[in-house]
Amino acid sequence: MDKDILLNVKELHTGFESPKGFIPAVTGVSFDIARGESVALVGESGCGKSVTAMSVMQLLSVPPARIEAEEIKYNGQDLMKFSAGKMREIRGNEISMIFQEPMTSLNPILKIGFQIAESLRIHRGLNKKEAWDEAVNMLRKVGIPDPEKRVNEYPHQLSGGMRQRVMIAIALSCRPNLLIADEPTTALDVTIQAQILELIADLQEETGMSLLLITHNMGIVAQMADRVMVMYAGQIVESTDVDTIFDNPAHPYTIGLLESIPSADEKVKTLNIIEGTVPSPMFYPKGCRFAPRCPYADEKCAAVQPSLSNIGNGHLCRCHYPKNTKGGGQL
Amino acid sequence: MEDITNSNHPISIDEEEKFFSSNVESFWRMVWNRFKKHKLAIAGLIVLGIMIVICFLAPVIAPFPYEELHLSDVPDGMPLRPGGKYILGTDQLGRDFFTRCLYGGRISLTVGIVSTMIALAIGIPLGCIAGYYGGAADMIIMRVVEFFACVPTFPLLLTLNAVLDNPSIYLVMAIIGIFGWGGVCRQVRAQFLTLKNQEFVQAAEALGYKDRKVIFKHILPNALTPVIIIATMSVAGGILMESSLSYLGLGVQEPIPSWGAMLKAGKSFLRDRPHLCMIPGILILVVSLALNFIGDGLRDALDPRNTRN
Repeated sequence: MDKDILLNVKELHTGFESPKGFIPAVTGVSFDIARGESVALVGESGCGKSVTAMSVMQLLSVPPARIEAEEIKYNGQDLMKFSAGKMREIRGNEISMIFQEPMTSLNPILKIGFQIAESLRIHRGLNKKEAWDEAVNMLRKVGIPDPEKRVNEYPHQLSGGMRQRVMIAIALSCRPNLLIADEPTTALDVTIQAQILELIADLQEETGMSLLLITHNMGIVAQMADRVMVMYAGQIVESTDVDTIFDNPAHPYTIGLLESIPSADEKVKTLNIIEGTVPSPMFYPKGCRFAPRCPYADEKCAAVQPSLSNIGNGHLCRCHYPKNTKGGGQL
Repeated sequence: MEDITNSNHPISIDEEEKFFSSNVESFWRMVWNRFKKHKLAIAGLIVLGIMIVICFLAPVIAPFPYEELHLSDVPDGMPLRPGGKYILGTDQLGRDFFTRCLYGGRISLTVGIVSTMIALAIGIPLGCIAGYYGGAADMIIMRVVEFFACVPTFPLLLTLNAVLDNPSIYLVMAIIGIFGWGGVCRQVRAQFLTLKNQEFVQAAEALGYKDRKVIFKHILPNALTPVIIIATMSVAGGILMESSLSYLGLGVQEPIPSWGAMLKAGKSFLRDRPHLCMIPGILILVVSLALNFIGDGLRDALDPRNTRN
C-alpha cells in the first residue's frame, strides 16, 4: 500500500445533543482517500454520509454537534487539532465542497462573478481585477457559454444546471486538493446530471484532485468512483474497489442495495426492496445493526456486532457471514 | 479552450439559456429601474425630496425670521387668515405661519431621520449577533429588547421632561431612537434565523469565510428588505412621535417651531382658523405617507428575485 494518502480519517464519532438525548449519527468511521482518487460514499438517507463529510470540514456547529476522532489527517496534518482560523484557510482552498441544492447554494443577491472572485481574493490574495478575470476563466472552464456576460448575472437568471456549474466553479477556483461533492446531482434532471458528472470527472483529471462523492445513486457510483464505501446506520459496512462492489458484493446490505436497482433487461412486476427501515440512531440494535433487516441473520448477528474485517484483497466487510465465504447465504 | 468545453457537453445549453439571458446592468441601476416603475414610490420620493429641500432651505426661502413677532398686525390676538403679506397667515402672535411651517419641517424631519439612524445603528448589529450566534448572546440581547419593549416610552419622556425641565431636541431624538431599536433588532434576528440555515450560507462557511464576512456580506443584505421597510416607517413614526410630544408640550420648546407644536398651538383656534391645525396636520400626513410609499417601492426594487417588471 504505497498510495499517496491525502485524507485519512480514523475512528470518527459524530453525534448531536438533543432534548431527547444524545444521537450518535456517525460511529467509528475510518477511511482514507489517496491523491487523485475518487471515492464514493454510498448509503440511504440518514445513514451519516453527509455528517461524515461535514465533520471532516468541521462545518457542524458545536454544540449541539460533538465530533470526536482519533485523527483526521489531511496532508499529514491533523485537522482535529486545527484552530478555527487555520481550518478556514483549509476550507474552500484545499478542501472544497459542493452541495445538493444548486438552487439555494448561491447567494441570491450577489453576482455570480463576485461569488467566484470572493473566494479567490480571500484564499489566493488576488486583487479585484485579477479575481474577476479568473472568475470569467472559471466560468468558461465549467462550460458556461458567454462567460464575460454571465459573470455579471445573478443566480436567479441561471437554470439549475448552470447554477451547479457555478457552484463547481466556486469550489474549484482555488484548485483544491480534495473536492467533497454532497449529492451534487440529486436535484438535477437526468441529462443535466450526466453533464455535471462528466464535468467533475474532466476537471478532476485535469487538476489531479481527489474526490469524495456522496450519493445514493449506484449508477453514479459506477460511472465516477474508483473505490466505494457503503454506509449503514452510522458505520461503514463495506469498502472495496468499484468493480468488486458490483460484481462481488459481500455485505447483505450492499447486495440488497444493488438488487433494488431495477434492470432495463428484465421485466419484473415488483421492485426488490430491503424490508424495514434504518433503525433510529438512538435505538441501534446490540448486535449487527443490519440484523433486523437481514435475510441471513441468526442469533450471533443479533448478539455480537461484527467488526469491519478484511475478506481478501483489501475488501472490507462488516458481516459475520460475508457472501461467498463460509456460512454466507445463497441467493 | 471554448472548443474543449463545448465539445464535452454535447447537449446544447445555449438554447435554454438564451431564454434567461438579460442585459448586463449594475445592481443599483437595476434597483432604480424597478423602483421607477412603482408610481406611488416615485411620487413619494418627489414629494419627500421637495419637502426636504424646501425645509432645509428655510433660511433662504422664508420671508421672515421664524420668531419675529408682528403684534401690531394681530391687535385682537386673532391669527390672520392666509393671504396678503403673510402667505399662510400668522399665528396669534403675528409670526408668519409659512415661515414656521418651513422651520417646523426642518425639526420634524431631522428628528425622524436621526432617531431612525440611531435605532438602526443599535438594532442591526445586535440583531445579527443574536440571530447568527444564538445561544447565550441571543438570550441576553432578546431580554434587553424585551426590557425596552416593556418600558413605555411616553411616560418615560414625560418623566424626563419633568426632571430635565427643558430637554434639548437632541435628547428627544436619542430617546426615540434608543426606544425604537427593538423592532429592528427583532426583525433582523428573525431574518438571520431563517437565512443562516440556507445552503448558500453553509456554502459560504464551507468556503472558509470569516464570520464577519458571512454575516455582513452574505446574510445581512438578504435580510435588509424588511429592515428598509421598518426604517422608512420608523422615520414616519419618529416624526409622529415628535409631533405627539410637541403637542403635549414636551418636545420642541418655544419659540422653535415644529409641526406637532404648531398643531397644538393651532387647536385653540380650531373653529375660526382651522388652517392653523390643518396645514401642519396635512404636512405630517403627507410626509408619513411619502415615506411609507418609498419603503414599499424599495422593498420591491431591492429584491433581485423579484422578476416582476
